[in-house]
Amino acid sequence: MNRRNFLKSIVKAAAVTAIATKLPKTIFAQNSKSISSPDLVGVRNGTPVEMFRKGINAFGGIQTFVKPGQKVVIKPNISFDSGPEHGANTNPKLVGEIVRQARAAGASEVLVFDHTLNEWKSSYKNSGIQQAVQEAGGKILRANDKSLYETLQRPQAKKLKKCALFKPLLTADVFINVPILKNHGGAKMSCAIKNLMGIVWDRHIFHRNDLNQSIAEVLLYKKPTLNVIDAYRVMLANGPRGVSVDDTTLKKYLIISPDIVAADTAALGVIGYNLSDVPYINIAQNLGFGTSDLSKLNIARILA
Amino acid sequence: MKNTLLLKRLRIILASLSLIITSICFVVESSVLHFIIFLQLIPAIVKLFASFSLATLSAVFMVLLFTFIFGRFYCSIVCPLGILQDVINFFSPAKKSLQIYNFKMTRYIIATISFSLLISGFAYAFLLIDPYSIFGRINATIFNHLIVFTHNLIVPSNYINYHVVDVKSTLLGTLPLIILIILVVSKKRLLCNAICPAGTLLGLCSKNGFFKLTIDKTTCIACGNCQKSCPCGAIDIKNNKSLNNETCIRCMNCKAICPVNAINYSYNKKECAPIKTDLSKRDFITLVACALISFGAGLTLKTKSKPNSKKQNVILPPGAGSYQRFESKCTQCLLCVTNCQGNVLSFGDTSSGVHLDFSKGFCEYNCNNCSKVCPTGAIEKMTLEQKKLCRIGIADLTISRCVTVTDNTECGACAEQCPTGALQMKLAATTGVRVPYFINHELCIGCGACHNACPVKPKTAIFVNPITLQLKAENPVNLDKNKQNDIESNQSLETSNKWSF
Repeated sequence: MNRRNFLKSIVKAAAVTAIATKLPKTIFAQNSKSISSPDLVGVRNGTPVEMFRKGINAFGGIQTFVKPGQKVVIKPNISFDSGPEHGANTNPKLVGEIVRQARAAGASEVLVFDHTLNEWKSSYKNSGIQQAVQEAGGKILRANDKSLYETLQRPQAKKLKKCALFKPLLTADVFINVPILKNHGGAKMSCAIKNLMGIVWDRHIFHRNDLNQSIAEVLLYKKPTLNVIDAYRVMLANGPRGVSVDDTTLKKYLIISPDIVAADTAALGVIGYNLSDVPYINIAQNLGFGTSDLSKLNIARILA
Repeated sequence: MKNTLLLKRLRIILASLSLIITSICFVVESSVLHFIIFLQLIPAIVKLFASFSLATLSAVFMVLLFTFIFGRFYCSIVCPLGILQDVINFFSPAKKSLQIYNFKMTRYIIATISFSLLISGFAYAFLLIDPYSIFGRINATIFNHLIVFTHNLIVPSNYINYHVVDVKSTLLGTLPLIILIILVVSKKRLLCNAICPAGTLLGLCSKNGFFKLTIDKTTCIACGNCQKSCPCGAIDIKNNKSLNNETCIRCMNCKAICPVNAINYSYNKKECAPIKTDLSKRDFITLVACALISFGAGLTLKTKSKPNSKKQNVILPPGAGSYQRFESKCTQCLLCVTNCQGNVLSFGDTSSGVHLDFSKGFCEYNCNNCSKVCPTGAIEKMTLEQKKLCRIGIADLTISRCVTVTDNTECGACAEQCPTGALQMKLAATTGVRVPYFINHELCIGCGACHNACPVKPKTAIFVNPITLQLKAENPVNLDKNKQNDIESNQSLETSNKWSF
């Protein structure tokens, strides 16, 4: 064997190994999916975008949830006029990545909105989400006007018998809920279920009529197809707005699950609260929107 | 021929541009466009007394110097109310010649009283007669809505927020517009030469200035076209073909219409036909007396003005200082109201002046638009950091009205929005429900986010009360050190590699 042949064979070997290491992974992923798709995926120690890519792959990619030609509506948390470093709004890069993947999966349109607490324009802009969404090929919708909401009724609800919901959401094929995990003065924790308060017009009703019951009962109106919890930078004090950057800490978690109750229960562990601290999770479970018993679920834990 | 039309056309182009830019300033906050507001003469002069700055002084000086050299172009191309009058005049059916008028003493007396009052500390007179502020009120309550509506119709992707204006405040804008239309249709620009104090001041500069309009008596055929086209009644053909450079606003209509090109705009130190504009001894004494009386009235008003609890029961924008200060400096142009991000600044509902109404919205923490745009300095300039610490009111919690007590359910709508962390939630031992409390009242800046969010209606459980003097509040970042330690201890826990679920 001369030097040239030796080098050639090394290159070939390297190429084969490279392909080989790639191949089984995808095959394995598909196999594992066909055997048992996870109910909940937790990802740790990466950037939000990296963690989302790995996590959604465990479900077999976003195409498991988004089919070509479907209308996708994404609801991040854009409550406040503050930047990503304050941890009050969902990470803009994560929202951008979800928009991009939904577009790539063939969604006819990807719409993003939130009924903000601060003035909507500055919140959309300063959160960085407007730019991220537009760059990823999505559309950000204003939700600041009552005329954009439609009142629906759910007589089976205990408290929230009537509720005005954001119209474009009602006609969506896929609804992706992208909350940020944070401390909350009134509800103790703001996460997936609590994030749905941003799809309604009048939040005063919630606060007047048993906040916890009302929060859980929004699910009677619209249930997300998929929940992606941003727990990368988590606000531990002064939530949900936060006073300074010092209120947050880096946890570097991401939780993905179609089960909103399980997703919130997993988030409890990340922020360090007990199930009894956050009553609306149990109420939502009793209404039949998922389970808070994580031991019964098939959980994939991935290190990014 | 072209040359004679040139100046008029230039004036029309510049005036249209300036009217459009001024109107846009009422829709969007942009430091580039707002230079035109900076040039408004009366607000700038008021600002010299409200919050002096060299920039304002040089703006006033520039306008006066320009007028001294070239004449009252200000009135035809900068003043928005003047341009609005020209627009109304353009559509006005009556195109008859004006009766020659000269309200010299009227305008001198009005100007003397206004400026003397200002020097003694009150901008009250300008609140009524400053042309820019009158335009502002008309624009903010009527045109602003049309502009925003049209804009949103054409460019829905770049939606601009409407500003809630109720019936009463719309009336406050409609009334001056109706009066203005009647005045213009019957007397054209009477306002500018009988009442407007800016016009009076600029007229005095223009009267003895360098560049003047003159009628060449030898070429003039006395056709009277110029007199008909003059909006100010400055030309009197019968009286020795005279042109009054004090009342002339340099619209250049006469120069454009003259069939024999007898009207010249050129450097001219001496007037071609001196009209007797010098004051008689009696008039002079009258003016001095007016000045002294109004100055004295202003001073006594100042010493007599005591805190009036009924009138003071309003929250003022950050930078207003106190009710007495704000009331005496604000000319109510409503530029701050239309630029308010939180849509909380209101005008003309419960109180006569500009104030915050927390039932409509709240003062956005990251916004200092009102202080950025205020042309009179009634709202003092503040950086965003200063504004975030400026207390404009103080929140007061009536816990017995709170839903956490009356209904025994969780709420937290108020604490949720508190930007300084002054308001927090704690677990009440007796009921097991989290109730709001003030961790430190010194942190409260009175932004009204809690007041606006409170679900208890009509009288909210948490209510922002007015304060007599705006103060600097405690800095929340400094007070947060204890909590930071908690978080750090939590962080050290996090370094373990165990999954938390």
